Amino acid sequence: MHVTISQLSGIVAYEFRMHWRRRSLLVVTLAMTLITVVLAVVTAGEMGQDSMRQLVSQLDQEQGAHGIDVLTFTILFATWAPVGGALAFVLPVLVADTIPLDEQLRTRELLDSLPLAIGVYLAGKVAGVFMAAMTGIVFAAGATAISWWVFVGPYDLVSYLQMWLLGSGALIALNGSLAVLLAAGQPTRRRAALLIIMIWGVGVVALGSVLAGDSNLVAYLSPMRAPIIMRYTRFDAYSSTPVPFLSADTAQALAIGLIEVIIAALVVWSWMRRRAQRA
Amino acid sequence: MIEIHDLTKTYVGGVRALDGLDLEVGSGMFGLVGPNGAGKTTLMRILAGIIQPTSGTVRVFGHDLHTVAGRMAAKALLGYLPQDLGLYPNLTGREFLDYIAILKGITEAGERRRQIERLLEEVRLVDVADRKLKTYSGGMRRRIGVAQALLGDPKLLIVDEPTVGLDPEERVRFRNLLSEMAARCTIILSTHIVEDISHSCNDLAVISQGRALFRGAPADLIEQVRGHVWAITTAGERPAGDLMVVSTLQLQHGVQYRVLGAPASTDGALALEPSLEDGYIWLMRQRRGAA
Amino acid sequence: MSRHLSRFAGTQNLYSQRPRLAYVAQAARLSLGLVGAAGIVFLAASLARGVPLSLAEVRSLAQASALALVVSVGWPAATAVILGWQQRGLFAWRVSRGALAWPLIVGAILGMGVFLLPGADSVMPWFDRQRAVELGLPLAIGIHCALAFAPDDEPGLEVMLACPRPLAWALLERLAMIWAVFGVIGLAGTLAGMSAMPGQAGETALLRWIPPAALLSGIGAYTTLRTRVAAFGAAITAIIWFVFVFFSSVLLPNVPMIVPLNYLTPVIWPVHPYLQPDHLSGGDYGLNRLCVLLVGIGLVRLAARELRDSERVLLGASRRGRQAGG
Repeated sequence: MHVTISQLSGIVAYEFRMHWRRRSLLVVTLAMTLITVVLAVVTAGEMGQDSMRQLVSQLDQEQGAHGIDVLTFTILFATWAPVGGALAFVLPVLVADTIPLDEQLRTRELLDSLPLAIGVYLAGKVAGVFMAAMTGIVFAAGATAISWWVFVGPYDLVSYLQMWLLGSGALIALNGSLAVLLAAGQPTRRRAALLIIMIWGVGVVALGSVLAGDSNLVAYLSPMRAPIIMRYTRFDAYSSTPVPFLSADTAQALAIGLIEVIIAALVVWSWMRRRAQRA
Repeated sequence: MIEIHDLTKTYVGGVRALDGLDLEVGSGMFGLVGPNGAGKTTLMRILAGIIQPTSGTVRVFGHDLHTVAGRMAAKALLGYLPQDLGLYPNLTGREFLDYIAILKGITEAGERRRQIERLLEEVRLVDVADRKLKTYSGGMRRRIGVAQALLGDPKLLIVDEPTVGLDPEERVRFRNLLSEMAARCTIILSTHIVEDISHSCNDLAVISQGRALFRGAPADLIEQVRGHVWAITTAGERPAGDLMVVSTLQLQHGVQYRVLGAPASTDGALALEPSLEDGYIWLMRQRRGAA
Repeated sequence: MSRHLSRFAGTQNLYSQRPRLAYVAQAARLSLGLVGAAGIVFLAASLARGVPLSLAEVRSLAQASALALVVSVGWPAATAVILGWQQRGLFAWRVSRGALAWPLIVGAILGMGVFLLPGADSVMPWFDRQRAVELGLPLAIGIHCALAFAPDDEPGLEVMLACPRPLAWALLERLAMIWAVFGVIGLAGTLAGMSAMPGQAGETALLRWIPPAALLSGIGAYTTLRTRVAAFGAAITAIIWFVFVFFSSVLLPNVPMIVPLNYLTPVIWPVHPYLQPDHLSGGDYGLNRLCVLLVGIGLVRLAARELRDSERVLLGASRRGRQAGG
């Protein structure tokens, strides 16, 4: 196997292990699963009530939607609100320490003595976080899909799994990667978490609402990733089955987010290279 | 072969750690001694490609460390044990070695396994290899550090204070291991424990304030102090004369001093066979006197 | 110096001098446990009968809890303050000052300042200027308290454990430092808000932010100490803040809610950090403020207790794990 690929896959594999053993991903995954299962139980209790029947008939009349669309909408809406929020805002704070931990644990000196390119190191760290978080997502998606099916009944499973895998995947790839990269220069976990909280706070408030005005471009720069977060909360998306992840605005938000991540990666890469030259 | 010419390193803030150092290191085990802040760790880090010199040239097996390609090529031949080695507390000893082996470029899983098992045997960590590193004692952490440095059969092994934290038995074991390794690679051993060098190196350098004070065989350093090492026993008072006390031993009816220098009177003073430590201390004293 | 060191035992020393006080503390803890048990019985009974708890039932439970909390949390907190004052020479304030995160402080000041600006509510129609201090400041304090002391991130932990001073002091003095700094900012913001919006009562303006700040401080510090990861404490604090700020008017009694949340929302209001003065009666609002404040202080106390077991602090293993040789 080529050395670079071997190094990359090695970093990914061990970063994956270390993230799971640090328990914070485990807690987030279990919390997302538990909340969704509780919501499934709550919704099951609610299904027999008049308010839900009224909602179904109202949507039937107004939108011409079928019962399964309404049920799928209810399930996706209920699940995505806490999951999307956790992935957009909580996960970045928890994974921000990925690179600073090497400094804090004093493993950096050893890593710097190895024939490891900065790009491979950064890519491995980012991919390791993505793989670790996605594994949790796959578990949560499976467990919650079964619980919805058991407690509430048949629904559009493809849309549901697509929401978990594509929606969550997009949020982890954008916000998780951005957090790992932006916190790369911090010497401690505490400083890394603080930096990401500050950036996310400013990003959500300033870019997401105050400065954005009518500009989608500015709004999509915000770590709120509004089109992705809101994708499964709009009923008009449910007119086709399965509910498509990509629409004009999600594609736009995804593209802007990817550009952000690439720029951050380039800046961090050149900064680390410069630091290595100047050390 | 390592060639260092006119090497200077000045840190931000103006601290000059290396000041025009010239050194050539051939195969075998090379010892590096010097007082705290002499520039040993800086030199080690430059050789390991971790930091850049301010000026001067460094070539490791022909690879120029000024270039990125040269540094990467040199790193591929290197085993490095830093003075302050950090470990990943949530990985087991075996996993940590596997991780470092992958990053060193050992791509074959079977080869990695073979090397790891052999090294775990050599540093006697087989029984605890599947325990998490956060449960390791100080000595075990040091030994796992030694094992990672030996991964990939490096051509150049740089070890900074390797025996700190090891018990006497482990220290001897590790010295023997290094001596065996010295037959097939170049080893640079930096230490404060002069005894480690006297037992294993046939070539050494003493550096102080970023410059080489001495370069040669341990026997040559010892020769410099011959005739200046004495044992003097007194009732308790320090012996008179231009002396430096190396050790003090409380006896039943007095105190025995091991001193370097010229005693005021050689009556009752016993000339001793010098050690490498005496030679080192004598050299440092001469330098301070000259300064 | 030895006179100072003899005082290090803190409350234990106080109890050994006055054994009756130890009985009071025991009784207070017992009463808190009884109130908690009564709460669970009430909730179970309401689920069994199929009717959520009424406002009056929750009020009586909250009053009993507040009383128990005053004795079990408020009284030791007051004792700790007195002891701290007596031994103030032994606090390492300078070191604690280094634990302050200035970007967060500056961010909190800027955020509060922007929200207090005239016309802020016209730019952000969802925003009420009267809430300028209570929205951001408690979150900043909570996150700061979460980041204040994490055993895994403390470089001098072993040395600190070897000192004759209890480790909990390090946490408490950092929290005190954070509170002192943010307290001044909050008071300045409150005064600025009152001068900008003259209709506000001073005590209401203070009650709007001090209890939620205490609660989020407690949540942050306790979660961090429990999980050993400061980022986790900060994240949990942010989530709780988010839930209560954005669902403030939903998590109330008498608001129609789906099953089984309709059983939970009537009992949340006593500890709802963002309950507004007009949500419930004045008496209930006061009771809520008292409960929120005391629960916050109680969580800080629990966080300090986490640091009593020095072996657990240092090694991170559970007692059972250590007994098993872990």
